[in-house]
Amino acid sequence: MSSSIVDIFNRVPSDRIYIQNTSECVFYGDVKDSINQFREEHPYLVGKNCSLVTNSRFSLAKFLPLIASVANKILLQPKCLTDEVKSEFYEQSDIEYVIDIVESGVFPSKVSPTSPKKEQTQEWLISTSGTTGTPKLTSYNLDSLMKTSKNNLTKGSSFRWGLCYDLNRFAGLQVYLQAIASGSSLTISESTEEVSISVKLFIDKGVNCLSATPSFWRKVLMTHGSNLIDLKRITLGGEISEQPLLDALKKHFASSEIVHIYASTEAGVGFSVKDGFAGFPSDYVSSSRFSSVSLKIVNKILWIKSDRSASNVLNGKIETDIDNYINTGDIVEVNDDRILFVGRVSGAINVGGNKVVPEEIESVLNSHPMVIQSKVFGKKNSFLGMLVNAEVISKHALGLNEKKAFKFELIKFCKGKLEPYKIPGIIKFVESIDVNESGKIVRK
Amino acid sequence: MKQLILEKFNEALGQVDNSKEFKSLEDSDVLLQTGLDSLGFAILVALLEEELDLDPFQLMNEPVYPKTFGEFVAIYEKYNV
Repeated sequence: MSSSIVDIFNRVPSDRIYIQNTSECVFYGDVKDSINQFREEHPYLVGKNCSLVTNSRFSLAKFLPLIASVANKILLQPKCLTDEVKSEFYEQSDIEYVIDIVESGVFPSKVSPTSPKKEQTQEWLISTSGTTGTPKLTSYNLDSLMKTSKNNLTKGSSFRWGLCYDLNRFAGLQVYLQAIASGSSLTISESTEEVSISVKLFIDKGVNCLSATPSFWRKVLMTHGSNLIDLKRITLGGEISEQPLLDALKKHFASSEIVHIYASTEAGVGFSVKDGFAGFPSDYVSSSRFSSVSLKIVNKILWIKSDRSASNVLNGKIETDIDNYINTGDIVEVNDDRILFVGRVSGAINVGGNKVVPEEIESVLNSHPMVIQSKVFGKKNSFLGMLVNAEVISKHALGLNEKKAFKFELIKFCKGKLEPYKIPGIIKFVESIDVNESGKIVRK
Repeated sequence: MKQLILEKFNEALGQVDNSKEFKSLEDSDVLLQTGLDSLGFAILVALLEEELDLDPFQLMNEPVYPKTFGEFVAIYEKYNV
């Protein structure tokens, strides 16, 4: 018997806080009380495939359990999808209703005719960030999503989680499910907020467990008074966790346990590392180390097999081998008894948790009439992990001032065509760009 | 050093589309309230690395995350020898 969101809420004492922000507080009991009412108000959503659209993490958390108590498929639609990808997603997952979620409530609209369905396990559909261009849509059931969630309600009563990921992303959903599995509260910051505001909220609400990307943690460390967040547990994920950052966090939050997690939307939660060191111990790569995950390294690339991975990928493909290991696309380096992450096979650049494909940026730069050729690559950066750098061959030789002017011209040209983190932070003008024997750009 | 950092600070602001330009910054000015976001800081550090061939944040044994403009300048002054 697979678990349902209603079962999870019913386990938790009603007087516990479920979610809160500066202006609102919702108890577990409030959700339990609303479930029947929601079903009565929206009977047409029962058993339907729904895509959830929102700009507010808090509103999504407020209405997610109600929608999940009736819907068959739940597509957590990320912001900024192109119309093309959106319709592809809707078609592949047979979406019948798109539900706009705002502070005041939910606004479902029918997008395709509904058809009678057989009884089936509820599916949760989560989009990847689109490392290879088009985002992939992966399908999970609640059990596989919650396999690593601890569900001790007694311990959970002392955990107060903070959310600083979007809830419709894999990492955010993991934090959310962990909080409700053990009946803990979740204090929700919004993506539009400045870090100092989020930090103040977390201090005010007594948040003691926080999961975020390394780039977010660096901003926390730069924020006055952030050491007043009384953290018992710090989790890092989504980017490579470098040793200096782990050390700085240890110093800043002396009484906190620090864990970095290896996970991906396709493979699910892989493993966590709790010893305070970057990378992971090389004995993780042996079949007996974990019961549910096995790892192997082939030609410096990490492969993972897990019973927590997505049950299905609705568009695109995941590369698996004959033994069902998934190619993670992560390059690793074995250093004595430690395995360290080096980067991505695809040359994809991870800018503060956002994956960037060099070719996409090159094609924009190359479309400028004064550019002959360009090469985009990632360079290590102390603040965002990596920063996008570009080398550009200009049609005309440029003087020093002209270079600066043309740099700003190219940045302006990229705006509107590329998200801010994709726009090269450093642009150098060069006379030639190296290519290998097959004529491909050498990126390093 | 302060002057160079200020110049690159404004350049980074321009790159992240912030129309602000600072004629001067006080040592006590809080970095995250200047309008420069994480991306802006990443760019600032990269621009300074281009100029000075130095990223002090990668050289630190004990990592320090500056909160004010004064702290930021002090880090560069300490490592640029």
